[in-house]
Amino acid sequence: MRMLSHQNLIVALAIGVGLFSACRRDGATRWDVNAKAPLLKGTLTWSHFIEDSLLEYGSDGVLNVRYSASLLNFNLDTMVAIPDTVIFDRFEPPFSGGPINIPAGTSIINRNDNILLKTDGAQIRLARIESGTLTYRFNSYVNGALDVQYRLPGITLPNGSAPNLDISTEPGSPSQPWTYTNTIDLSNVEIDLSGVSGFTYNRLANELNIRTSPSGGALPLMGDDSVTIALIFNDVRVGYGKGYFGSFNRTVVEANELQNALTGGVLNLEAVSLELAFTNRVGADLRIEPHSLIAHGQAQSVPLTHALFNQPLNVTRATDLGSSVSGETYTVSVTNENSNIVDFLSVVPNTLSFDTDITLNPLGNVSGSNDFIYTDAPFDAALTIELPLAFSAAGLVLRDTLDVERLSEFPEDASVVVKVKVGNAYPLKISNLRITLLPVDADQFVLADFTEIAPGVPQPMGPLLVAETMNEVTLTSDQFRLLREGAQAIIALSLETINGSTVAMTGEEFVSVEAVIEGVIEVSYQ
Amino acid sequence: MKHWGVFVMLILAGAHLSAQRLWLMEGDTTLVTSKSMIEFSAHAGWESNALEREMLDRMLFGGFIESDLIERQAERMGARLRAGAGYNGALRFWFFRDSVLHDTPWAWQGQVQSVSQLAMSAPGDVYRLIFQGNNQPEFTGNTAHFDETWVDYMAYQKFGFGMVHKPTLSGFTISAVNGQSFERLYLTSGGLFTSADGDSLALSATGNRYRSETQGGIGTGYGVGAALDATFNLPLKDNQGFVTLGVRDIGFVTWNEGSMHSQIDTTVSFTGIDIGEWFTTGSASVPDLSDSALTQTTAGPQSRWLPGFVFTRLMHRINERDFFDITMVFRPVNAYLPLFSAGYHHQVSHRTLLGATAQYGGYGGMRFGVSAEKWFGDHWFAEVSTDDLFGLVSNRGRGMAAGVRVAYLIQRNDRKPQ
Repeated sequence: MRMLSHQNLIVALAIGVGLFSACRRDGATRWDVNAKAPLLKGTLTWSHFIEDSLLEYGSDGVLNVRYSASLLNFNLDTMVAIPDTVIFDRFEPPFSGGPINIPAGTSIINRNDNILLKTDGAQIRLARIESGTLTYRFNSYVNGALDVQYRLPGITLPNGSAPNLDISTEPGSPSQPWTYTNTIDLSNVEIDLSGVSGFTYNRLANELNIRTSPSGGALPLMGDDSVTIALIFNDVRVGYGKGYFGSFNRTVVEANELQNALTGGVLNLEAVSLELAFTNRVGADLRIEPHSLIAHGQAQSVPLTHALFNQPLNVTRATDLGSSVSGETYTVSVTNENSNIVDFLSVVPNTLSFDTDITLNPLGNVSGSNDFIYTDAPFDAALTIELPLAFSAAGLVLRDTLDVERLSEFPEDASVVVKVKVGNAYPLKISNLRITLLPVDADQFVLADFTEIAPGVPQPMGPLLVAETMNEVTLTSDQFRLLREGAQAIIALSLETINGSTVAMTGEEFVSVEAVIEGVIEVSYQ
Repeated sequence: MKHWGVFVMLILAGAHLSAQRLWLMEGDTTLVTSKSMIEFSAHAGWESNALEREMLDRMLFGGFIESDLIERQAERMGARLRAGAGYNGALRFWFFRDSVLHDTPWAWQGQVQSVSQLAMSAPGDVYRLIFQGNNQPEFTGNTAHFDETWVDYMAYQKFGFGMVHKPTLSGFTISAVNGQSFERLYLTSGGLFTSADGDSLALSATGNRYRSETQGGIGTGYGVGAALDATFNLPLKDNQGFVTLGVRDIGFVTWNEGSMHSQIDTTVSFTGIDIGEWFTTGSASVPDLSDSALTQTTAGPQSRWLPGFVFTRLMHRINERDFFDITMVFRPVNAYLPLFSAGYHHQVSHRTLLGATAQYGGYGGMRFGVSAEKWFGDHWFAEVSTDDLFGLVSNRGRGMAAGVRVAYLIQRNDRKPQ
């Protein structure tokens, strides 16, 4: 037999290594497993559809919904707003020609007058500023040193003093003036806009005294020499204003979406009450004339009928407590007896629209220009509904949309059966329970669709006996794949009372949902 | 192609306990009167009491595992799944010309060896849960148990020097050990409970996971240790054969301070996405149960025993050309049953030996193997063997094993083999 040489051994090893390296994977290793796992479990009570804070127990043991919403939020802060403003003034000596040598320390200009601030029609005498800035810019075209005393006595800084704007200038020229700029933070600054006299409005007093520098020699002053002052109000936000806000009328129409899990269907309510509260936190009289309040349900809209509509309601001015306000409230009670409130709410509204006229100072300036406003305390119209959950219902829909995340934890491929068990402990028949899934970028499909789930069975003592129903849904591989990308789930419960009879809710009601997923799932790894 | 790749890799890989049969039984003095010898030997293989080669092919090379294959293996494994795999490659040197301390029967020997060993044992429930799922009659309303599940892997290299008794080829080697990698997962208890309706799952696991900080391959070192390999060949009367007692890899590795120990103690249950919470928060997700699976991981040096074993063998002549051997191998591992092997060997000539063996035990069950040993010319010796002939040729084999030994004899100037 031929001897195996060193070279042959090396060749054999090389071939072996080559063959082994050719052992590449033919894709993923895959196999099917038959798995079963819980998917969903839990109970849904009233608090899952209606916020806990809105639910309360009545003295009769019946669950009440106390719902509050704002119909109108009418803010008058624009009336006292100080827009971004530039106030510019030029001062010249009271002669022409020149030069005239002005001895050192001689007063050239001495003025005491008002600066007019523009407002949105209001006559403001006092404003407290929340934030903003005032920039002061002084230019001197005089070829010599000046002493400038500039006062804004109407501005009171938070420390109680007036801003110090005095400066000593250096020589300037017509082509290259000497310039000084300073910016004052107006936060928490009070501005008196009653002017030099103290009896006017929208006017800021200012005092200017310019003299030649006492430390130099005589100043050769030309008649066309000048100094300029610019005051720049920027981003000024008024927190409190006082004066007379004028008299005007506005029509306001606002639609308010209600945060409501109840959608669709008709509620036949036994008793319900509604309270409308108009609160005036402005120091000016208001006259309200509501024209309509309309409940918009999914199928129809119903206007509220009540004596308050198209009648003027006077809401007197609020009281200024110094740093806060005490509002005046006009309350209107709406009941079964004085309105169509049951019909109004039976449409299960998802939107309320409110149409009203509002007149400010209907009697004119009766306060002697002492109207006031705290801009963070507006006028509002609030609605509060007291709804005892005792009703008959047809097709009343409780609905919510929920996110499902991280189903990517699931295997990639599976054909599974979802077994859903629903228990009903409501004294109402569930005429339909549907769980619809909305995958990302794909058509929605129904995961579970139950019909005619019997009401819970009353017991002589204790809660209702749960009526259970089981249903099976097969998810195809395609649907399963879509779910892995994430989805939204719309859960809608349609409730119906038996034979139109009225039932009272005690808060013990619930729907239990239990879903188990089982099927053949392909497991794979690379 | 891939199967042939594995086959060739195995052939190029290994040799196991068949060593020395021809050398000892032939009684030829050529070997020990030679100057020296260098030998490359290797053995690789795996075996299981249930897993078939087709299953391993799919696991390693991809593809779909048919349910009938999964079921066939599940039926076969009974209460526990056992499996083991190993690779052993060595380069050995014998310096026969030298004497030790002027005692001429003794000579020096040395070796460089790379070993990797994987063993696992798990309740059959673990296999069924992974490959068949929890929606099985025996699991619904019941617990799939993970008790006494363990996986043990270690790879290391030995650099040894020792002595050999020339007349009997008895000897020992003491080696320094370079620890390359190890990992041990041991679940003392655990299980997955699936309620009858499938509306709740409860997972529990208690145990430990140890592992080295290994990031590199062969030759990288993450621990040091020592090992003893020894063989004692006792001749029988009238040259009728030998009784052999041997140990391999009796030693330890102390793994470095980067080694990790994770204590597993977890109990989690899942009853589905809480629909109440879903409605409250508007969003729900499937919880990640693995988040709470591992707890209290610490780093620090660890000492681990090497995966050593003890063997004993009787070789006895039947007649001038034939002899048999009976071998027993013990590994202190609960996945490894004591291995019993019986072999029949026929000397075609004094330079050629053919043999057949039957084995039972180890990580698997009954296996049949063949071997061939031969001298080529003045210098070369070669041996090929397999402990599992069926596994080499059939997808249904529950293991594969092959070994090879190539030795090169450096003769004294005046001697030649017969």
